[in-house]
Amino acid sequence: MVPHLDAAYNLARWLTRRADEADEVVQEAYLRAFRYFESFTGSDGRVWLMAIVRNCCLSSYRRRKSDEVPFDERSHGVESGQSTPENQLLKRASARSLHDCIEALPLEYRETLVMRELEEFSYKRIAEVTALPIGTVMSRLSRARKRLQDCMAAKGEKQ
Amino acid sequence: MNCSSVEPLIGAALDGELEPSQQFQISEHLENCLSCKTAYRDLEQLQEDIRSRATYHRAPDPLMERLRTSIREEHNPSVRRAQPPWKWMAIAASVLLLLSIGGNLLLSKRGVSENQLIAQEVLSEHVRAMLTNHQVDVISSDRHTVKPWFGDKLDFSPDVKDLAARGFPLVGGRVEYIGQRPVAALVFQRSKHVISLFTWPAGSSVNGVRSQNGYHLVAWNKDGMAYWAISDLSLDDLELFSRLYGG
Repeated sequence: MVPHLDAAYNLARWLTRRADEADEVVQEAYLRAFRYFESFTGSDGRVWLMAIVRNCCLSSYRRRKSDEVPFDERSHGVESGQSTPENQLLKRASARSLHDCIEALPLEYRETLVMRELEEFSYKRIAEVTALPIGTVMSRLSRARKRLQDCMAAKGEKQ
Repeated sequence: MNCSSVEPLIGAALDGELEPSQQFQISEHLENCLSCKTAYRDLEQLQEDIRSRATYHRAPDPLMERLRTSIREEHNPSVRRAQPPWKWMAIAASVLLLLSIGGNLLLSKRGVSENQLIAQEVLSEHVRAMLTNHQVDVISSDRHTVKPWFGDKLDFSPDVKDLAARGFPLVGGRVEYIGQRPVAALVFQRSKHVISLFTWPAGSSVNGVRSQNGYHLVAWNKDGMAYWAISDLSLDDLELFSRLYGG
């Protein structure tokens, strides 16, 4: 068996959004883990491995020179804290729209959301994987959710 | 607290990530504020939707095979694919062990779900015994009293050790039902902490450490018996206990 392989693949698949790239990234991550495991001194192997997977995803992302607009935290800010009636009414979402809306999130929001909701990581663990302060994790997650709600509302996913 | 200070914290409140006093203030506000309450419910709904409907991409089977091959070649480029699998297993064992620390039990591929199930049962039996204050049916610090007590209740005789001199006095024992069979539950103490040790004859191998809900579990095999120790003790102390027991 290979430990945490599903968690590693799930993160890579959501971050790269491509099956072939996720495959490559996961292989690279486990090779790195294998090469450097002597340097591992922490107590949580999953966090350590997820951090490596994430780094491999980011390198792959840079190599690919994606045509995406570079991430800018300011331009992705939520202008107003007020919820609109549309997103207040977000209910039972179709899986397809949900999938598309998560994939449409900027990388930084997507990774936070995936680790929080699909791996059910605590903010502290996400902060450890991403090497970010917990406050940043909290605000990225909050913005990710807001954007997701807006995206779902725009797709008419409401009652 | 007013809406503008509550709103940015609603998500963190939903995730249970706030200080208890803050969490309390938020729930108090939600009781009295329809708009914030609605925002909270929307987030809750969103979370439920994501968790129940978003794809969890499981690793495809061929990937595992490719991983094994590439790690094997990484280790020794001259190694051909014909290398017997046990060699790779030996190399990988140390990596896997490291990756497993504090996370999952290191288990044979076949035994994963079964052992996860047992871990869950061990945890819930231990917690239930603590909560109901029903930890032992035979109270004795004398192993010569405890061991025979199991005689007419089990189809095996558990190894009952006296570790009082090493700081783990025996409290007693009871019979539990785990993995669809009756097992011996031995209870030990370490200062204020209680350790439950479950043991039964088992052919399949189990070995590892797991932490869950503030409890640590250490599992090992010895002389054809499976041992599962669980406690809220520090992991170091529990591993010391396990070593003293022969794990």
